[in-house]
Amino acid sequence: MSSKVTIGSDIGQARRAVEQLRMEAGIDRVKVSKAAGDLLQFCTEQAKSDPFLVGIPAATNPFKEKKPCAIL
Amino acid sequence: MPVPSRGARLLTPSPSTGERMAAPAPDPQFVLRGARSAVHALHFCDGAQGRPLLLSGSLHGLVHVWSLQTRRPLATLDGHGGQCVTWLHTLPWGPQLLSQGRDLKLCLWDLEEGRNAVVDTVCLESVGFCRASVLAEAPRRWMLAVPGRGSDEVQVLELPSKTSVSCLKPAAGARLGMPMCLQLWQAESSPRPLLLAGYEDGSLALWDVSARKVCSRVACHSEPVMGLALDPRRARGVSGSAEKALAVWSLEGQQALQVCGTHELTNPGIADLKIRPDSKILATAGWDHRVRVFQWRTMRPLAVLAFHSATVHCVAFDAAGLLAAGSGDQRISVWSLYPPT
Repeated sequence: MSSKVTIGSDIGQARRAVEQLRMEAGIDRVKVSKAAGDLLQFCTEQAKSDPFLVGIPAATNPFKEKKPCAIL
Repeated sequence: MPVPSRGARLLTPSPSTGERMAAPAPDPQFVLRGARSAVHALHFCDGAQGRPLLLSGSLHGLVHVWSLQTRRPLATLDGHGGQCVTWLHTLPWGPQLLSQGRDLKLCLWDLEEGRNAVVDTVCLESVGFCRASVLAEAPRRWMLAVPGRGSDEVQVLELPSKTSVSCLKPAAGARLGMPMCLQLWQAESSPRPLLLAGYEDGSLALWDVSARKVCSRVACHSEPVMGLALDPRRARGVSGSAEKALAVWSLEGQQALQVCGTHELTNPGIADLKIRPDSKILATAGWDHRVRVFQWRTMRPLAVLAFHSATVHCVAFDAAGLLAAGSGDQRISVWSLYPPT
């Protein structure tokens, strides 16, 4: 939405910018209530398989500590 | 794609023929830079010792307090954890600031003499973008309307106690959608507070807050209502939406909403509208990067200000007649047009 209109010296650049803007203008708008509801539903459904929330079991974690450090 | 226009235009009648011709509009009086991200909220207020101040809320959660004399930020308030600040309002008594953010918090700040502290927080339950509205009666009892937990609900709270006065939920079959903009209002004639709400389905509803029922509902737009501005003196207002038309409506006897007329703009999408406190001028913030200025009484177009290079997210008026516009290009332009006499 906040795309700055750049006046490129290159015609090709300008053409690509117009194509991009045309594509953005053609995107169908979804109402906030529907989009917010869909996003919340997706997040709550996928929460159990989210490693940031659930954590990775120690057996499959490739980065877990093999040997504890000892300070000599 | 927005229709290009040849720079800012001031539409003045030509002295010889009387026809309206486009004269170049004046540049902004000054431009405030340094918000560091898109500006989504603006509010003028009076600082201590009568210094005029402008408050701005940015996409990265900062509230900047700008001095209009030095044109530099006096203070920066960081209270929304990097989430966009969508609404700012100052309470008429003492230097207290309300800021609403996308972090689902509405913060009450104490800005007395060098202090920049959050004294209270209201937790919001709606993940939408609807800005809150305040009816400031007295320091001990004032009202705040916010979007509620349910997707079509509006919650009216009494502050500072934060008790719920009303939960305004439309009837099941109404299908209004999410509330998009709110305006609390108390007419001089009756002590009952009213709430004007614009909804996703493009309609406006007038609620009686105490009775919790809709007094009147009118379909204004075919797209969601993005913003509304009410002139309490004339009991008239105007609303803008994602489409090209502005709708002007009146409150007959302060009970019945009625659309008086529509005004078609060149490009679709209005993010915000404000009526100047003296009820003479209306300013609209457009998705097409332009601020449009109208004579409020007649809706005659006065000027098209094409300064910004991104969506204008918010406009605000000063008591002295200054107009400020905040945009996605991270700049705040301040204009002095048609100063009130």
